[in-house]
Amino acid sequence: MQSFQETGDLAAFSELFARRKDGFVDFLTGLAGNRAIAEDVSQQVWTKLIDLGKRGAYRRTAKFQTFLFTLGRNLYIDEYHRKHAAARTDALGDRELSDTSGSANPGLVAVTDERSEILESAMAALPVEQREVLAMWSTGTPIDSMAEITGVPRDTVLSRKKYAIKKMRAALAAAGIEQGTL
Amino acid sequence: MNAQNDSDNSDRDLLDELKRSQGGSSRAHDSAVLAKAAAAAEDIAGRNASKSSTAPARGFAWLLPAAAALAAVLLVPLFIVDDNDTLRNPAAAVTPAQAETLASAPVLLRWPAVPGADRYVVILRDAGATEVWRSAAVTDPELSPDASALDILEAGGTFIWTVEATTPGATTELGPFQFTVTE
Repeated sequence: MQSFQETGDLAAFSELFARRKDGFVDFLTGLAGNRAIAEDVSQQVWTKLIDLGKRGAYRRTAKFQTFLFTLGRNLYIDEYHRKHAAARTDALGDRELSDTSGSANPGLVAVTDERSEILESAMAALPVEQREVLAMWSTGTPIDSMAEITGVPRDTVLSRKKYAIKKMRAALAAAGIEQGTL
Repeated sequence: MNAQNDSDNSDRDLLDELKRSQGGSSRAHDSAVLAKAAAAAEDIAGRNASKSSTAPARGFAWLLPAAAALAAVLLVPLFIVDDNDTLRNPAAAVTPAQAETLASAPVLLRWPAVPGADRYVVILRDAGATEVWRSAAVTDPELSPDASALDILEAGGTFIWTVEATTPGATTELGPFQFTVTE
C-alpha cells in the first residue's frame, strides 16, 4: 500500500488486494448477514484506501488486516447497523436482506442448502457484538487482533465468542442439529 | 492460550461449517476496486512525473542540465524506447490502451520495444492478480493471444498484464497494464 501511495505501483496494490479481499468480504458477510451489503462495505473501504493513497494520506498504525477489518467494521456499524437498527427488529430482517436477487453474485448468496440457512439464521440472531467476533473467528483472525478491532479487552472478546458459540449451539440444537453432526 | 485452543478444538465442527459457507468476494466487486486502483495509480504516477518535471523551476533551475544528463544515463531502463527511438511512458504506447474497455477479447497485445531485448514473455493476470496465462517467448514487441488465452479473455472481466523483456544482460518488466473485456 505504501508503494502504491508513493509510486502508483498497481501490481503491489493488486497483490495486497488479492491476499486480503476474500477474508475481508467473508468477515463482513458474517457481520452483516448479507453478502450484498458486505461487498458494498468492502468496496467502500477499498475505495477509501485507494483515495487515501492517491492523496498521499495513507497511514496505518496496526497490521494491515487489523486496519482493514477496523475500517470495515466501523463503516458497517455507521452506515448500516445503526441506521437500520430500528427497522431491523429481529433476525428476519437480516434474512429478508439475504434474498438478494439483484446481488452481484447471486450464486454465492442464494441459500439453497438447508443447513446453511439454519446456520445463517442462527448467526443473524446473535447480537452484533457476538456476531462480529464469530465472523472474525471464522476468518482466522487472532484474538488479540479482534480485541484491537472491536476496541474491547481480550477477555471480553473471549467471553463474546463463548456466548456466541453457546447461542449458536442452542439454535442449531433447536433445529435438530447437535454438536458433532455439523 | 491453551483454554482458547481447547475451545477451538471442541468447536472445530462449527468453525468448519462457518468456513464452508464463505465464498469470498465476487468478480464484480474485484473489478470495481481494481478499476479504481488503476485510475488512481495513473494519477499518482502522473503527479510524480509532474513533480519531477516542475521541481527545477522552484529555484533549482541550475540543476536541470545535470539532472537531464543523469537521467539519460541512469533512468533510460525505466522508460521505453519505441521503434523510432522516442522516449515514452510505457503506459502511453500499449495496445489495448491502458484501462481501455473492450467489447470483445483483444486480438493483439502490443507494447513498446525495449532496446536490446531479444525475448518477450507476456503474463496475463485476472482482476485478483492471479496469473491466468503466460505466453511463449516472442521476439517482437507484440503478439496475438493464442486459443487458450482467448478462452480466458472471452469470458470477460478485468485483466492485468505485464511483459518480461529480456536483454542479454537483464530482464525488465513492463507494466502492469490493464484492460477490461465486457463480454
